[in-house]
Amino acid sequence: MVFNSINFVLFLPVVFLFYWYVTKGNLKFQNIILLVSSYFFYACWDWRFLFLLIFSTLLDYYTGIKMSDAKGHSVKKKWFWLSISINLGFLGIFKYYNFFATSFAEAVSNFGLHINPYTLSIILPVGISFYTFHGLSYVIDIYKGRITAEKNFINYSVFVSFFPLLVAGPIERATHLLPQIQQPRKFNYDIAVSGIRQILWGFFKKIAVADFLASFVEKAFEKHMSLKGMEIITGVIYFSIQIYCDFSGYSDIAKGTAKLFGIELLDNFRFPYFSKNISEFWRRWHISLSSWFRDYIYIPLGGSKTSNFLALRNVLIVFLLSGFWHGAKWTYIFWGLYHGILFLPMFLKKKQKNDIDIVKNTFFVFPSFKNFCQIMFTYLLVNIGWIFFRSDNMRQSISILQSIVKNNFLPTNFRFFDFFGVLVILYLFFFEWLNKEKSFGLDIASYPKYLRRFIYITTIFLIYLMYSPQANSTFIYFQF
Amino acid sequence: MKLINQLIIKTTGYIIITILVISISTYGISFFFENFFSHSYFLGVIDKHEIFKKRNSRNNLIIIGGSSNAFGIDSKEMQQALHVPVINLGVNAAFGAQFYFSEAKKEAKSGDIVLANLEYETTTDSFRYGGIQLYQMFFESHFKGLCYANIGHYYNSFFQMGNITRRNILYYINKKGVPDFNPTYNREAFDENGDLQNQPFKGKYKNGHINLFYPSDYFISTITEFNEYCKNNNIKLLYSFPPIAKSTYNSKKATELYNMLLKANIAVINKPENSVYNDSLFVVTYYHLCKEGRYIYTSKLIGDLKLINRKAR
Repeated sequence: MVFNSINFVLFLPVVFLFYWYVTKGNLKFQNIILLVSSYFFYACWDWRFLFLLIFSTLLDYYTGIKMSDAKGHSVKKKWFWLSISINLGFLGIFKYYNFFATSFAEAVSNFGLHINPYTLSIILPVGISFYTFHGLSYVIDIYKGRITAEKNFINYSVFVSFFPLLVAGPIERATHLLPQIQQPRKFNYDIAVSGIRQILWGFFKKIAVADFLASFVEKAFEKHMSLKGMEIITGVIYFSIQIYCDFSGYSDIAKGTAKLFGIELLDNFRFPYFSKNISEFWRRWHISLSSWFRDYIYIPLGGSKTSNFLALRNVLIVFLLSGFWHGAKWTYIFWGLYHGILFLPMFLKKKQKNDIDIVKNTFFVFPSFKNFCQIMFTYLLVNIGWIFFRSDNMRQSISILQSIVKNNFLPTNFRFFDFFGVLVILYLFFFEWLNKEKSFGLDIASYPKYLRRFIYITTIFLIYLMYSPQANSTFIYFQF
Repeated sequence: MKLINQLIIKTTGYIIITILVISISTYGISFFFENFFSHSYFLGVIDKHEIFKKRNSRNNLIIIGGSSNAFGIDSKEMQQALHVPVINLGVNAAFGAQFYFSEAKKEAKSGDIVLANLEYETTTDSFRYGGIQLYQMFFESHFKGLCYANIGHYYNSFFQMGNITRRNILYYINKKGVPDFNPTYNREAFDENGDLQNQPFKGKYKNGHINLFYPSDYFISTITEFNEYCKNNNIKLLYSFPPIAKSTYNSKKATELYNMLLKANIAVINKPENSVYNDSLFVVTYYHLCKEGRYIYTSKLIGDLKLINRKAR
């Protein structure tokens, strides 16, 4: 089941009513309802993979208890590595096996050896990267002694498979989500309303912006050879907006939905395109993943508290892994490396820690000229990275970059302009900029009542206008 | 509980008000633009049904389906060869099977033959209630078309109206007025039998992508139901395969569809592979025959129909 479907529109109110009316604040019932509905939500996509999810949950639940109960460190370590190996093993088989097999065959073919790699014709279980990372964070936290094992299987299962975050995050931490699941939730009207507002904003981003731009983006990337430079650049800009709206839209719907059930999820996006440098961009983009890598890879490797050489190595490892996490493609790996290289100057200047301040409005709602230039420059760098991210392979990326330079720049008939497309993009960034100090673009609780109502109806109307039943509306991050 | 009730009531209220605002404004805008697309190709639907009123003939051969019929059939030639009045209702493949059958139910009388010459995509589940073209016909072109709509079409229209309203507003903002007149695709290009007149004599189509479609159980149940209706009303339903460009022909799926139709006891008058032609006979799409191709396909269809007639005797 996907968020932008009629099924979900029916599913959510039913679960909501059961959750609050039937359970009457009973923790056990609340969690049972969340678990059953989460499994149902996942099974609607493919019930066979539900067994994989349950197995992964059982594995981490059991190893967690075994680690907590272990008398000696070596026993604890044994269980720890067992869990890590199986979790990463599943991820490796489903997501990376074919990549390694074909890359190996290509590599040895350079030495004159031609082998026919055995590849698996299996589909990638939706959300496997996300729920595996949930489980890993739990196991690592127990191993490091940050938390104790959860003894209640239902509680732990809800932590892994809570439906709003099950298939595309945010990647939660046991230290943040489990305590909320262990306590009975009480209904809070203001939080629930904020949740509905965030869901509405998520739908706007996904349906009105991301899905609408998808056809332009596809055209720009697939037919770049025959397009003018300006058209390709517009296509790349559209992709930057599409992927942001697609993924952050999902996160908004997930966060908003969780709020309806009295659960607060981690932030995943904080207006990343308003960043003044790459370091800040990574503190605002896919926050739950970058902080996961920071806490579980970068810091254990020594972080910055080591020699300069090792610290730089650690940074590059994290960025490469971050690229690789998105999928088994060289383009993703290069994208990670590209961002790693852009990040290094900030890192060497030790500026990366102080750059999360929000841009101030110096003239009415506008930033200072300096800040504006910084934002635009960062956006330009990010866009170059998106060319690699979106391309099917490295050859296509290079070809796109060449076409931008080599093809004539100005088209005679600019086919990438759409009045409504521009309108919704302006609407999106207008609200995101106005509310950049808040947690999401439509966080308008402080606005006058009638203005709020007007904004709600306008937003819904724009979603409706831009909706196209013919559009391919799958969330991009489902594939990761 | 009181707060939860309050939230539910308020949210439901918002939803109802929003649906009302959306419905009134989008369907209202459509009324406003009713004559905006007065030359629309889709209005061929309205005009073609007028033929029945004008002729009031009996024992008609009614051809239903999409634009492959409008481009690929010479109804006058068929009339002369088969000695029956022929009316070609083909306009657009994206209108979907339910719409075609609904059209046929409105017009076919006892003794008539309905020839379902449906494009392959029509047999897939995603065309159950037609594509956006059907709703453009309903709401951009003329509301008269709604008399062939069923409850599914009305429900589905709500999801299409945003798209259609956006297009209407764009036309208005750009001050283009009536969309550019297309000499081939326009209402006036249909003749008194419902065939298109202005396509080129020679084709120049080139594609090479296999036509992907998945014949659905839904389609089989819909056509079976229509077949029952025909039997009960002394109407004969025949099924034929449309002309298709060689480079796009998907023989595996076409054969699968053929077998599904036979299994459902539908009277199929030809085999799909016999309606596959060189790309050079097509224009614009893999279904639109040029005039040269139309002559070849019509002759073949006449042969198929004569053979069936002989067998029936």
